[in-house]
Amino acid sequence: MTMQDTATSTWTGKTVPRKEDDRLLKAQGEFGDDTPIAHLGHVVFVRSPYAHARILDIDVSAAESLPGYLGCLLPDEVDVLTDGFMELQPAPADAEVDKCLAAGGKVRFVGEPVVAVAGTSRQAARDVAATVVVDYEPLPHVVDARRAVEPEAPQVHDEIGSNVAWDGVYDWGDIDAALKSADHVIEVDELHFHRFSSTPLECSVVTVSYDAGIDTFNLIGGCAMPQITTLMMAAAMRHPAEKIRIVSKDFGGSFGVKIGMYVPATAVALLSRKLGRPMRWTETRTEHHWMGGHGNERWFHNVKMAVTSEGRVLGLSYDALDDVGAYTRYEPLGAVIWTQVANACYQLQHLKVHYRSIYTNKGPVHPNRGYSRLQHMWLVERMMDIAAHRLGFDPVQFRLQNYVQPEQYPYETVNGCVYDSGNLPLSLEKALDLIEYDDARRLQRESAGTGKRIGIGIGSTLDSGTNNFGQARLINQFLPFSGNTEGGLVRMGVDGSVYTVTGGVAFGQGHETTVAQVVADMLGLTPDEIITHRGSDSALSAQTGFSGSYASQFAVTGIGAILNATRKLVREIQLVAASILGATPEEIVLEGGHALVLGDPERALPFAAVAGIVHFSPADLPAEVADEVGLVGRAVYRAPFEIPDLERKRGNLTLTYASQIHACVLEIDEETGEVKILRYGMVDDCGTPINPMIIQGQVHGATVHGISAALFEHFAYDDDGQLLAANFYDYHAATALDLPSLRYDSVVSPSPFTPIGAKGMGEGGGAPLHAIAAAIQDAVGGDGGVVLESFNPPERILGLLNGGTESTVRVLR
Amino acid sequence: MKLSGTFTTQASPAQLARLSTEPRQLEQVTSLRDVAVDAHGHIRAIFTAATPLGAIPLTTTIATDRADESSSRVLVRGTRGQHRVDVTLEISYQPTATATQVSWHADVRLGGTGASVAQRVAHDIARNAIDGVLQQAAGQHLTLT
Repeated sequence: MTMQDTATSTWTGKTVPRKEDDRLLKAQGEFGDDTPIAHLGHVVFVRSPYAHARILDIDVSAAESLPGYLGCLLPDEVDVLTDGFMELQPAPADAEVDKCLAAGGKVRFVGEPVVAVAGTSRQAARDVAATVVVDYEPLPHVVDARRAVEPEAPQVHDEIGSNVAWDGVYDWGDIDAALKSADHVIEVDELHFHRFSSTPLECSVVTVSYDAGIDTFNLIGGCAMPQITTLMMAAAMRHPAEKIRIVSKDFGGSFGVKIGMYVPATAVALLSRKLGRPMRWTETRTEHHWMGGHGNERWFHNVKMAVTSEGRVLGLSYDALDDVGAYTRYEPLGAVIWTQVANACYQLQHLKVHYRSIYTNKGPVHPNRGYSRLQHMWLVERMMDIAAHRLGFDPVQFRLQNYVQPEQYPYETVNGCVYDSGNLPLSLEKALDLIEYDDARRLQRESAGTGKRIGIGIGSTLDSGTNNFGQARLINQFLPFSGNTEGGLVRMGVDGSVYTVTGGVAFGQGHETTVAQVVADMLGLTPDEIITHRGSDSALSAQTGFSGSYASQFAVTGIGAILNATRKLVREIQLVAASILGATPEEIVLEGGHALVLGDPERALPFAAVAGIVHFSPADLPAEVADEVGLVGRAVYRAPFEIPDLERKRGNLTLTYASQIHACVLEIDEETGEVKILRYGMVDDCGTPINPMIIQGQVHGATVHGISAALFEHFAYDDDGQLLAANFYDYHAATALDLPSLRYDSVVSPSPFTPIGAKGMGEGGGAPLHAIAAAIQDAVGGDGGVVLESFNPPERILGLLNGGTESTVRVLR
Repeated sequence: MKLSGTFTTQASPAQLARLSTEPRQLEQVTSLRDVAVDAHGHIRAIFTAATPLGAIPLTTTIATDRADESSSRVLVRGTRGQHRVDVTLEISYQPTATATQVSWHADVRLGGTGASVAQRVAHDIARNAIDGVLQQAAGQHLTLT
């Protein structure tokens, strides 16, 4: 399908105000905690204050006399009522047992739920929780993945026999030969990508009503992956998936992390059934920081990059330890997801990575904006920068020379992924224009000796979108996943109104608007005339197994399904109108709310009339039309994938690659290490835009997230396994006060592989981490240390100004 | 969190060394209630800490690791819901001409919610709590014996 299939492009590609904002800005949205439910009980979890401990005793007797106490759920009950959640990893780590309350008589991270208590109000439930006494026997714990792989390290899951959840080697090309023959080899002992998260505005909220009459659990809450979630809960609770319904209404952000909602939701569901009344759990911010899902923390060791004397990067190798925390709740998919962008933005020919996913006694990781890919791309980008500085290449020219070039698309990477389109050199040129690059260099020169240092950095990243789920087989050949689909439904109601339902679950991306734009074009209506179902409902037929919002795919899969569904509806309208107006279906065009005969506007049928005939007077229609037409278009979009070559770990793993090239100018105070961003430019290329304003909004959001992660956000743990930033006092997510005015530009490289040339986007949060690390390095200069951490607070920058990391970075040749 | 304090009491070192194992004396401390000895021989009690947010009762276990007339080592664990306070308390007794000088050093570790927001106020709360219990228990000793 091409752009022309959307009859006209009156609306697609235009900045249209978001339809959903009208209710949201008037505080008329319905978020998880807003839905009124009669007879509602409230759930509070009593969580572990230990990183690793055996549970000796649980005493809830004091709770029973408290006013408002409804009941509780204990680990022993959960052991009887549920099986462990499904695991993706192969043996031996598939022996991991993960349940909604601490499993196997142990807790494995601070914040792990041990008891779920219910009260008639949230306050009553809190009071009840405070009286629960859990006796623990502390056990040795491990919070550093490097220590966790040592033979004598404490084991997070005794039944596995080690702390390794997944171990594999990716080897494409011949890196050993490249390192042997290259003119230059840069070697770095260790780099570290830190833990942070997405901090959605709305923490998780789950309401469950168990309907005993039909043995069905009805869930309300933001769920980013409804069908997979029903399967996870169904298997754990030994309950038919068809009898678990998940409804999401307005949804205050996910960015990946809410994929893990099946864990608390299972406890809430069990309590609802046990106590015979609806139950709601409203997550606090501290709970969210403990267990709501951290981004993957990754250590890179023995990093080597091969470079020619002309400045061409041949490839690199490294060992990765990915700290997944105490449970593999979406992991170890991260062990393969990064390979979607194996080449990053560059023409690498050789890449070898030994990757291990490691358990530690920390909060479990979940997908987090740029999931698993931003870690690898940060490493590559950092190495590009280090190589340029150490070998004396201009960092701009070095990147330009090594970027995948516009004429090389579609570009096949070292592992068989296909980069669909792009123009990285033009994007970089625009990014440098945004920060007034030459003037910034002048500022930098003039700052010498003033106590302030100016640094300029570039961040190049890709947002791979629309997954081929066949990649899951690269971590476990027995997983029954491949390809990707999404569903969509468009129907005409009895009065001629047009309703759309998408399988995607919007959590702020403006799906109601973009869907309305493309449907309006196909039906000859305006977006205001399209009614898009808010949120999602797993029981509606619009969803397929992979439905949801994740992996930057809605612009491709969600819109693709809606286009296919609308096409079916268009055909039905044409059949009806043709039979009434005495024309052929092909002569019928849709315009201004009418079906009319091409070239003869007097022969027209309003949509209301079409609907009236079909719904109320089918005898007016020829039988063959009446039998076929229901004015409902239900369709799927199938992404064209094949199962990857498991032996060689090769194949096309994602359909689209949006690019983000960022550039920044920052100032470092030599006395305090404080960073001030002076200029920040971001250039996004996500193919054909559907709504430029929405794109720009998402680029701003992702950029702020990345800047914040680079300078402020860090989920650090102390030696005792306590999370040091379990609240917004200690975990600072950037606000407008921390930021400069962001400068935006775009490049449009339509994807040749997608319905309207659009690409998924919104996960470009990695680019600021790259750009800021590079700018700090540029400011520190050659006499200071090397930026080897993705998180750089003032104290670390002071350390860099004093050198210190130099010995871990070597130019071998 | 490392805390310390000193005070002088009329109790003898021998009397002080028994403090952490005698529930009758601890019962007289106003911030402790429901004092009992558990199956392991440890003292179990409800300790109510005075905090800026009000009185917070903690289920507390007091285990004497070592005690003689020169010093004691006491392990204290307090929990409330998902809060946790672990204290390793080293107490030394120095006789003077007219009394005993008690010096204590505590390694206080907060866990769970206590390690989050509460860390900002925990220093003063813990110091006052430890010092208060020790002084009162030492003073009560005189009353009881």
